[in-house]
Amino acid sequence: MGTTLQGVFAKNRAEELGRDVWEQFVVPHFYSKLDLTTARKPRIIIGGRGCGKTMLVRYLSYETMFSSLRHSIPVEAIKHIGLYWRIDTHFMNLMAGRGIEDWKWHSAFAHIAAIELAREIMGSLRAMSESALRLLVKDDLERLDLSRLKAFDKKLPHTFAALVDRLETLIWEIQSWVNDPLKAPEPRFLSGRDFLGALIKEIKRQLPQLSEANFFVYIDEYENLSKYQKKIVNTWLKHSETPLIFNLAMKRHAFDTQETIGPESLQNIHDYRFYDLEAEIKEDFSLFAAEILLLQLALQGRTVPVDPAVLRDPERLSERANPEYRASVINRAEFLFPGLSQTEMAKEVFASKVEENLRSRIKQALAIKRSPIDAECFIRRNVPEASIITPALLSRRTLSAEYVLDQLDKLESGLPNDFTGKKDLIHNNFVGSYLLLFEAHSRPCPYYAGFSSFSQLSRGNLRHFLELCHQSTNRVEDWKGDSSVPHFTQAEAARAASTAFLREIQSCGPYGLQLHAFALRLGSVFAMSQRRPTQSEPEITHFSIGDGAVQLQPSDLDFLRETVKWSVLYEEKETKQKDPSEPSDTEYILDPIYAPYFHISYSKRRRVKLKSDEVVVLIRGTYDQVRELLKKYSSKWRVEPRELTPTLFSHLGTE
Amino acid sequence: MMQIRMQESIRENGLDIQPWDLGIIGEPLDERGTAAVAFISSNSNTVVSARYDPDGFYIDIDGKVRNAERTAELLENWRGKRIVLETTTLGFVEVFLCSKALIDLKVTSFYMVYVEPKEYTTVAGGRLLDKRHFDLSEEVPGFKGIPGATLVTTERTAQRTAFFLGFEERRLDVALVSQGFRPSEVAVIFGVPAFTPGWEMHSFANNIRVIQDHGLSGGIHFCGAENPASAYDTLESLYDALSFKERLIVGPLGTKPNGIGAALFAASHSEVGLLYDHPRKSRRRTSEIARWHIYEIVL
Repeated sequence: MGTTLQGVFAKNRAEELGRDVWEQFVVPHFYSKLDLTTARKPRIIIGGRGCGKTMLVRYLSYETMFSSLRHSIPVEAIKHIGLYWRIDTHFMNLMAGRGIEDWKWHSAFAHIAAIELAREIMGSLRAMSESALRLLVKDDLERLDLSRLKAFDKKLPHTFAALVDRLETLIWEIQSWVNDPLKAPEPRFLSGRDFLGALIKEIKRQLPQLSEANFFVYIDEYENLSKYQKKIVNTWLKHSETPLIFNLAMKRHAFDTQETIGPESLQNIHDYRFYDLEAEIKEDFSLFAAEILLLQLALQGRTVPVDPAVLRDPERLSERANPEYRASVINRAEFLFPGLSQTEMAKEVFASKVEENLRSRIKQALAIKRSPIDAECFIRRNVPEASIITPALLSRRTLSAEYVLDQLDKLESGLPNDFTGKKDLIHNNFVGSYLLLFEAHSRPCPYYAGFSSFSQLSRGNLRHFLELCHQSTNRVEDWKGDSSVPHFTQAEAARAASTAFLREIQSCGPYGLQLHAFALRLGSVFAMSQRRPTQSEPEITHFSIGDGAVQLQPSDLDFLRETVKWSVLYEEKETKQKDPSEPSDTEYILDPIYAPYFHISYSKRRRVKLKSDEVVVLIRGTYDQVRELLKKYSSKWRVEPRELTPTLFSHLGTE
Repeated sequence: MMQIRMQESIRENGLDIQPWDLGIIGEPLDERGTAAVAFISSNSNTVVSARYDPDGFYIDIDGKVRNAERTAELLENWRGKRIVLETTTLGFVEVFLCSKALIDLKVTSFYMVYVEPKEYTTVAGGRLLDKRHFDLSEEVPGFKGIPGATLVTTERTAQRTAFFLGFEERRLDVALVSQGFRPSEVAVIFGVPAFTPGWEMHSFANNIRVIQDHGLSGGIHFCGAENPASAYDTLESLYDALSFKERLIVGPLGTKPNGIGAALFAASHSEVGLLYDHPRKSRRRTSEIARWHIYEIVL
């Protein structure tokens, strides 16, 4: 087997791959739902960071569709020619105010769109002529006479090559004008959609082989547009019709205005279709993640149970739905990143220093109960999972040491018992009890290792998934893609990746620093809950908001939307209402990628209902208010200060 | 050909200066800022304050407001006079706009004062978590164009981007995420030697994750953290190496002296773009004074 593959998962951003993503793209399993070949309505694709939004729209764009890497391209490809436009926020937000009338900025924005998208159209023709499509040749482009476009601007040249150059000059001109609009000469503004429509009409008229061509504009990062720019784009969306359809890609909660520049607003279903990428990708994320993982190895010449040609072909999606294929792909991913079963995790405790921690916790719980029973009676190597949860059971006031001992005896003897019976004590308490045995700052916890754990930690975020793989393989000397990464190495990698992603929250938009502080505050509450000796409410990883003395202000609700927009939190409709009389509510789930850092569960098991005033403190409270809140929970949950993770809580002090 | 003559001293009275006709100051936020403003006040006949508004794109000098690109109109009456910019308290954009205005007004020289801090209170080199992270932090306005120095950045345009780096890796991360540059076209510049030996490690440690994460491969350069001439020269060498049609975009996210070098370079090269995030500096972010610097800009 060949060279080392340590950096093979390092490139996990679409930007790093360029515009032609043909080689790297795996057609997602929900692709047919996008209905690309027949649908004629605009699409709005929403999804958080890392869910593959940009990768998808780049795949749909002409540079990938007419990629030089494709050996054959069906002629139907011209029915969907994707034009990709990523908004240049830095420049666009300069186009407001500054003593210039609004209508002029509106015209300038439409002008830039016309230039950029016309360049895309010209680029798509060139790419087609150089591709395996064989529908166009270079001479066809050279013969084009675009002189009718002079109706929009007399200075526009009539040949293909000259128009490409002129469009670049127009960008320079508008750039100069925007930088100094009172001094630089004002360009003659091209009308956005009309100009593009005319350009397409001329192309189709002179190149009959493109008579069925449709151009689909994909505007990425729509959220970065200012309101008037959004209204202009919305107008184009509303009036989209073949052969020019506008589509948007954006983060959640970014579609904050449906207004157009006319009297009518956009209407869902009538004017566009929504596609929630995260919801779709979550459907069978493990398989998709495993395929992406194995594609990287296949591209490096390793023998793996995926065929890149099949992964790239929407027509062969059904082959990937085959249960045998699915099993082989998942199995290989699990071989590379093996995890431990619950029993294995429990057994391993007895083979390590963690056993001493278990013993000490049992002794502590017995001492509080003033029980004379020897701690060793609760350490049973042949029922390891039950042994792991005994400290939690012994810490509960309602359960006697004798009861726990009796249940252990029954379990060991194969008799009906509460550990595995109706009460299902092991199932309900294992993860919380197991995490409690590990100190977050020292020994890596194997709970976070394994392909299955990585999939759950990623929760549909491909970038997070690939980073977990990258951090893991990078820690193995000379990893060649054919051997398993030890689970402790993976656990260490998960903690490192989690830490890095937590820190990265600071980069999430204008509220990044506040979002970071909020994540730390909320994670601290969950981490404290996780350290409860009784584990009576284990695995709290989400919250809902109840009444409190201080009500949430509109700005707080905006902030919560911001947390969802940047995928720090996920929101779901409340699933379990303990009190049926209460109205249905929203639950907020902390992104599981932060679980290894806070040393908490990554599963959505239980929630805590925070009072509105507590949420206010987490969002905008002073440092002292946060400290008081954490101390309150520390007391309520009977968590001793020494139980708290030093790296997380050292700043709280003991005063 | 622009020249930057530099002198430094550990005490203000160790500087060899002549009084100025006009001193332009910003808002002092810490001990060194207060000392710098007092120094300008006692050595200038007239002192005015300047403030740039990144949301309105205007500059306010001594209560007179103009669009940023019209800054020269506010300074033209001072043509031929001795002018000093107090760059400890002025923000990067004010330094750039005033420098550009003075260059456009064809002055023969002007001065800048910079007071180097002894300690940064917010340097968190490698330390993951402290009270500061739990405390409320200010909103960061984000990258917004500066009139007169903003280029359209698309993946279609041939360009190279050079970021001066400081302690806050978040700023580089935001720039890269928001602009979507091609990683191979992004160079980074570290301030080495740093103000104080060892500080460069904070800058390396904090930025390395972002550099790796985005796969930046456009080159790593070094220039003295307190040396605007070195920053200018570094940009000049990058600029000279551009191929036909390539443009240079500069992200001044490092030390103020590096920012001064970037401001002067962009002010004297109209085709160079700036990328800046307009951070609001917190109060008392530094303590004590290490050294005083005077930079004479000769045009």
